[in-house]
Amino acid sequence: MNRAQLPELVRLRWRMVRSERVRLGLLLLAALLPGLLCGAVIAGQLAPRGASLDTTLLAPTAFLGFAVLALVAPLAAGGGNELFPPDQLVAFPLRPSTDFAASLLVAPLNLAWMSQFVVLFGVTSFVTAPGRGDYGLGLALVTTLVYVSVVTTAGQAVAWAVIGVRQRARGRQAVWLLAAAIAVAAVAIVRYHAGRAVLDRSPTAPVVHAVLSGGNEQLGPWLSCTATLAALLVVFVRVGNRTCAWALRRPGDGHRSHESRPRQRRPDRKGELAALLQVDRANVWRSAPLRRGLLVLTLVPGLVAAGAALEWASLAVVPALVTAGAGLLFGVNMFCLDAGGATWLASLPCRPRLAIVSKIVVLGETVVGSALIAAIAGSLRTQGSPTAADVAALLGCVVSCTMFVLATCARLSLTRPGRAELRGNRDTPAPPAAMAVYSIRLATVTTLIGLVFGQAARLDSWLVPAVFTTAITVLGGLSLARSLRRWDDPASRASVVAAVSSG
Amino acid sequence: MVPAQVETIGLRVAFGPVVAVEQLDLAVQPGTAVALVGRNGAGKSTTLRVLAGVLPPTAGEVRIAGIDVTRDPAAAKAQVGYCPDVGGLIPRATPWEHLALAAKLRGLRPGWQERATSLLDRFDLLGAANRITAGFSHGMGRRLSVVLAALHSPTVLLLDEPFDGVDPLGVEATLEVIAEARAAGAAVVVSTHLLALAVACCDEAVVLRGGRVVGAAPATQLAGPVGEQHYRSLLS
Repeated sequence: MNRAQLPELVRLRWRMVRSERVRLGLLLLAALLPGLLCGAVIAGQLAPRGASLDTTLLAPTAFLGFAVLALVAPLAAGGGNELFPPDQLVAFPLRPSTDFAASLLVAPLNLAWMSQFVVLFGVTSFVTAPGRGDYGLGLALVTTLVYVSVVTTAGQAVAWAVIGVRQRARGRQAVWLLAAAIAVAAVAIVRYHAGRAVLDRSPTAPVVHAVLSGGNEQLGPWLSCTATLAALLVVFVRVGNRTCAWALRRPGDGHRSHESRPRQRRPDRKGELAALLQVDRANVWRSAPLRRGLLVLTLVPGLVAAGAALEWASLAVVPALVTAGAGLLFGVNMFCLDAGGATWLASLPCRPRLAIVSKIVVLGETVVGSALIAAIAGSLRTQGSPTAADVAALLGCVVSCTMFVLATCARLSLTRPGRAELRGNRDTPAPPAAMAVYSIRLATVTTLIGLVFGQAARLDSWLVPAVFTTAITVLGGLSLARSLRRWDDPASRASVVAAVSSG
Repeated sequence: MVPAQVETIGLRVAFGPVVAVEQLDLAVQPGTAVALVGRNGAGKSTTLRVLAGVLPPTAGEVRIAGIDVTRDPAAAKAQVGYCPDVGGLIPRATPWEHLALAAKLRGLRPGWQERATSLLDRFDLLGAANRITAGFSHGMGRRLSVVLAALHSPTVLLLDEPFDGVDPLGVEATLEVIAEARAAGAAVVVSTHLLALAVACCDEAVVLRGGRVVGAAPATQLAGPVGEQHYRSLLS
């Protein structure tokens, strides 16, 4: 049954991609991962061996990092990934196992997952020195591949279980308590410098041992660990199917109580823009996936950076990554906030520009707010006082990345609008594959901007970051102006309104 | 002769190769109500979107209270109260926030709150005035859309499927709003599939098929079994 259902869902999703350019982009994305994996393996084999011992020692940490990512990413996204929003397929007799299989299929559509997978293949190739045998590298890569499959499947199974638990009030409290306990434990580990001791006991050490055994063509130890991982994979697939079925049939009580709760009336705003901003801000804060996304975005990167005790010059990467994430919350399809109300709003007698300006301002507030909070959290354990160049680089990075994200999001919102309710915990502003493409577009550039500002901070002059900031801000401003002009065209505006209000 | 409050001359709306409305001539006098009826995809909602200023016409002239909607859309929209066919509500805003936003953007004077409260009460929405609309039933959403359209006592009231999924009391309240608007001199255009209600609230019925007008008659001529038979013959 699943074999028949899943391909049909994938075909339907593919047919729903109407633009040839988007289809081409998705095909390129699909080809990108195998290409990067091959590149990582070749680079690992060709790299000089000088640091191979260090890499071998650090490999368990890299494998552990991937496991943490595979567990945290679906939880941060509100639960198991889905090929379609749940309300779109209610009329079809889909089996829970199809839902789980679809979530496994969609899981790799995540920039962090893909990049970490490539890193693991590179590490595997590097620690497997060339010339030890004919098939050692192949064995080592098989172990890594099975390991990646196991932790990804486990992550999705846990995510579905959490969805089920969160259906009830007590379950939600339990999940919050667990998250708080994990956060406290993480802070304690960092505070008492116990990180190395914890990592030394990493449960991934046997996996790395199997990788090394495979590389040395020692079939016994390799086979025992790899076979165990394969057995775990089967177990997690079965557990995932069951937790998915349980989560889907468990009646919820949170969604409706949240929506039926009376809201306090706020004083009327004086201006038209202020009135629109009031509604748009409420639209963001009252959306469960946006609230959760903002919380994750502002806390996790900042705490990770604080744990790593980054130096001031390197801190610029943190807000850079956060701005891209903030844009992905709703910015890539900013008019979807209005959903069906877009048609009614378009019938009101105000300057059309106010509607887009309001959305851009709210997105700007979201992006800048999360970036600054993450930067402040990340700076808590930074050594020494920042120089003028460090401060200029950090602020310049926030401003530049924000301008880039605003410009890109405004353009995407006008060229690729679509209906998205952003109502359920797992709702996203665009379909999974489109979100993957958008995340690559945003995160690649903002990371580059962050790296550039990081290097600029080392030049010990505030002038260089200031010049970079001015240049990127001007370019972003020009792009925003083009988007505003496009919005001024009634036909473009009408197509956006039609897309977000009726699908 | 009194000038028409709603007037379209040779209206054409095309979405690429698909023509939704073709050569539509329509005139609605003040104080009168016209029903747009026809099968799904006949062009009723598209026509109302153009009249509301949401969708620009591909060709033809559209005037609201004498104002060309393409030349001065803001002035035309100020005359119109529009209830869209689907949704029409911001999912995470409350009815009161919708009303406050409409009042602000329409420049209503202080005191609009009394009329808003009265309308919400009449449509049995006062108890839900501070709940977000995402949790509303379809019928509640339809009723609120009519309230939003009627808030500023518009000179042109455009209602697209206002009775769809609405309970009898809500239908009654909607009929009252239409009657009051007509009494105040407003022109009303109602799009509906419910012929009996179209007959009950409108003077004239315009039958659309394939984006063109295939018949127009006093609404009473579509009443009863004979009228319905006539209507069906126009649809096919």
